[in-house]
Amino acid sequence: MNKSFFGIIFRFLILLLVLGISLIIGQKIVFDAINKELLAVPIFDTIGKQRALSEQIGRTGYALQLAKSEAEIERLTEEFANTLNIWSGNQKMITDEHRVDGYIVEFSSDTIILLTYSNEYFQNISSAAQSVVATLEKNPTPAAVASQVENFDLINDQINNFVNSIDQVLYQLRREAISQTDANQYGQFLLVTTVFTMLILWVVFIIRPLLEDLNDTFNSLQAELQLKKYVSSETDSFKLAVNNVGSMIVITDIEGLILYTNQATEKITGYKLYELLGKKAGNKDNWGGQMDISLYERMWKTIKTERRDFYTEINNKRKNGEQYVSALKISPIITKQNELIGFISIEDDITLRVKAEELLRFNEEKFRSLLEDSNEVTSMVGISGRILYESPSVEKVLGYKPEELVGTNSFRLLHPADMLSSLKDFAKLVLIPGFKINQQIRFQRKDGRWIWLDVVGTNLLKKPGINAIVVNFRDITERIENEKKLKEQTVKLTEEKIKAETLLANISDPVVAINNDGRVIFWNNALLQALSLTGDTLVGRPFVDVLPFKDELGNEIPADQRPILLAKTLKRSVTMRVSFSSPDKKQTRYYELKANPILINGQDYSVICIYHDITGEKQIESAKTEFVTLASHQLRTPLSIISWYLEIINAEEFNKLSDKQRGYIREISKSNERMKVLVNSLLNLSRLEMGKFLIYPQPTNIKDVAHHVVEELDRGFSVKQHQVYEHYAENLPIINIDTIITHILLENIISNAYKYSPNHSEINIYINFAQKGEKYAGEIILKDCILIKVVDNGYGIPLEEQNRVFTKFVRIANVSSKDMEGTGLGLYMVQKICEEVGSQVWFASEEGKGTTFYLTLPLEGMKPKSGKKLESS
Amino acid sequence: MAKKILIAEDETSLLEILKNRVEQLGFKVVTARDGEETLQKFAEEKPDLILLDILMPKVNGFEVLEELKVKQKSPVPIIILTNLDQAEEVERGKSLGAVDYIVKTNISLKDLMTMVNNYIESMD
Repeated sequence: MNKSFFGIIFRFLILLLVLGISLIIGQKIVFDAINKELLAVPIFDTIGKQRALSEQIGRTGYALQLAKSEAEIERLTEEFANTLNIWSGNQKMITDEHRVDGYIVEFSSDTIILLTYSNEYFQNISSAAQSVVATLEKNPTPAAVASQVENFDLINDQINNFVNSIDQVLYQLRREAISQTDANQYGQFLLVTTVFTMLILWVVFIIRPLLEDLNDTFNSLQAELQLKKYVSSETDSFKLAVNNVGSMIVITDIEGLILYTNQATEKITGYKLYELLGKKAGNKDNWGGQMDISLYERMWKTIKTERRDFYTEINNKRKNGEQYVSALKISPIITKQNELIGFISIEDDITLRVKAEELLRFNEEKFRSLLEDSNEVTSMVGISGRILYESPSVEKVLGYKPEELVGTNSFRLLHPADMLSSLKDFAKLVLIPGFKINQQIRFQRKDGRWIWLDVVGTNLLKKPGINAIVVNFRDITERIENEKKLKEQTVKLTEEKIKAETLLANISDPVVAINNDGRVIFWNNALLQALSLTGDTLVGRPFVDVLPFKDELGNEIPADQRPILLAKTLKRSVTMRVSFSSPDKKQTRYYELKANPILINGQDYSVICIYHDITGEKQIESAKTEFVTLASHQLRTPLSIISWYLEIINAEEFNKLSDKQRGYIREISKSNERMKVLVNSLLNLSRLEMGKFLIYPQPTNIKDVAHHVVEELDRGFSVKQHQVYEHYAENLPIINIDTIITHILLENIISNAYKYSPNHSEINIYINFAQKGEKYAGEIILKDCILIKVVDNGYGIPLEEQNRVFTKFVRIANVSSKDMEGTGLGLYMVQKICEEVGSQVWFASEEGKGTTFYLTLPLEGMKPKSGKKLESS
Repeated sequence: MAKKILIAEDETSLLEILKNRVEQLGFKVVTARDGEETLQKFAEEKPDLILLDILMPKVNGFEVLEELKVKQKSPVPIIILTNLDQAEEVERGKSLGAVDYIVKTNISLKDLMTMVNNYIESMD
């Protein structure tokens, strides 16, 4: 307390000092500023300065007079109003009668400077002027005037000089005055600011805390005095003891108003003595206590009415808001005369203890639950196997309560098959102290189910306090089952593996399996033979090393097209024709490789490759190709000969023939042409069947091709006199299609319209866009395309024949007699071609009414393909 | 001097017609029935134009072409006259130096003769 008292005094002194200083500085500034204002025209007030200015002006020939008061100003102005001119600012006024007596200059709002000629100067000027005038009167000649002008000028110059110098002087005077005015204002501002700032700082930092401290100190003093009053009758040692004891001690009167609190109270609750004195203790809203109403009333009843001790544990709150648990005991103070004079409460902060108890309880429960729920059972048995103790978890494992088992023999529940080995082990165990055995044996649960137990028995017969065999066991049924299943599966897998391997090893086609990393994991003998290798050079090696197959033509297969990689990437089977030549290049064998990806454990792919030997087939194929080429060539030769000889006859000998002979020649010509067409068709057919015809897409205008076909057919079928109408859409694009193939397609379809309509029929050909998804005559368009529709009103196709239309060598019943020229291959060819080039072809027909054929050409065009060119007939 | 045409063709009937027609145009005709004879006659007769079949015994048309055009670098125009019509064969013929490749079944006699005439005339 002493410390704080001196602290206060000290701070007070500092305060005074600061105040003093600020006042002094402030005053100086203020007075200075005021002075400056008063010294607004200092140069004119002090005698010394006046004189200095007079001198300065005197040098110019003028005298200085000041007018400072209003009255003076008026006087001067009046006096000289007529003869003087006002010069204000920068303007110079013209003199009156060339006679200048002086200038009145307005210097500031309350000061006028009057400048008059000094008499001396005035004399000089006037005499000079007079002499000029006299000279001019005397001698009014130009020369005289000229000579006097100089004098005149001189006088003028003098006047001007004076005026100029006044300018300068006054300018300077003004400057000084203004800067001083500024200084005044600045000073005023500074003063005010300083004072205010000081004031605020003073209030905030000094006065307020000071007041607080004073308040504190005052209260403390008061409290101490009160306390002293109370304990003055007690001994010092008692005082000391009570004050310093660790528990909170609060003494109240019979109404519960606090008379005393010890130091521990402040320590535990955070409230100071003076904050508590006089307050009602136990007030349910009081200083941190959170007693509910029933407890509160019970407390009062106990201590006041029943005059007994009251004990409770409540949640309390310190002054700073922190929660704590207090154990509180309130006792009534009863005098020897049995008078109740007050209450004393002893309170302890038991937060930590409470927390510890909770933790212990929690751990106990956890432990117990672990024990009870555990799958592990601890039991004790005697040397005969008699059960002496079972832990509670036995109920979970075996279904029996501990009390149901104690006293019974543990071997009773054992499976007969395990009994013998178990007994043997047990006997051994019993004989050797400290010995441990471990068995996996079957026991029967109360519900009859057999389970596997992992049993560990320890001989603790000699251990004091136990004197028994301690048996720990655990249910391992699930584990055992799983192990059995696994074993079975392994056996099965092994069997299957062997089967598969045997199978694969003996397949006559080469087979190789590649794992996810591209390494060979399996091969068969046929592969070794094909590659002339031995087995130990294959396993684990990257497939690119060990499978030296080339493409069909003997070229290297580009890395990104290798079927094995493609199969893995595309996640589907990939087929490719490959070849392999023996090192001496003498023998080449061809295979159709099928690479099948197989998904292993969800994400990795192995690829199984089967090489189907097609060497023989290829040989047949090439033999076929050769034959066809040769045959068609051979067939064509006689056809050329016939053609040309017929040409000669027609050209030269025609006139020599009879009509009949001419007719015969015509027939021969026709047959010859048919033969040519047939040979072409046969060639096309063989190329088609082998899938090897050339597709050479070029930008083509379908309308041109269609029109060309129509023109040809008009010529060829001119005898039928059909009316053909072409309805081609305006904005059909040029698409990339093979012109010859398109020609063949159109020709076959449109020629059917010509052939299978009676003479003078109408044929309509439409060419339009069609979009993917649209439907025409029951067929859905698969790709955006150009759609060609050929409509005739001819014989139509009988319903029962309609599914034979696209087959080879077909002759439809109702028209076979009418069509002598067809090979029966046309539509078959059309369909086969369409399959290859991505077109669709279909028709709708009704017998006797007519047929409409549809053909699509994809907008995306045809894909180029190498092969033999098809013949256009 | 009348121009000389060498016709190489193993098929007798065709050879007859061709000889007949070419002579009618006013040209002299020399014939050969196989590749070997073709080369022989070429050396001996020094024709102005050759009509060359492909499929011939002993030495075929392509081989003749190679010999005359590639090895001997003869400037004599050679027209291939055959029934082989595949793109590869046309390509081969042209690349070996034939000035034209005609498929017999596809051309009329008249047109063929016109063509021969034009080639001869353009030579002057």
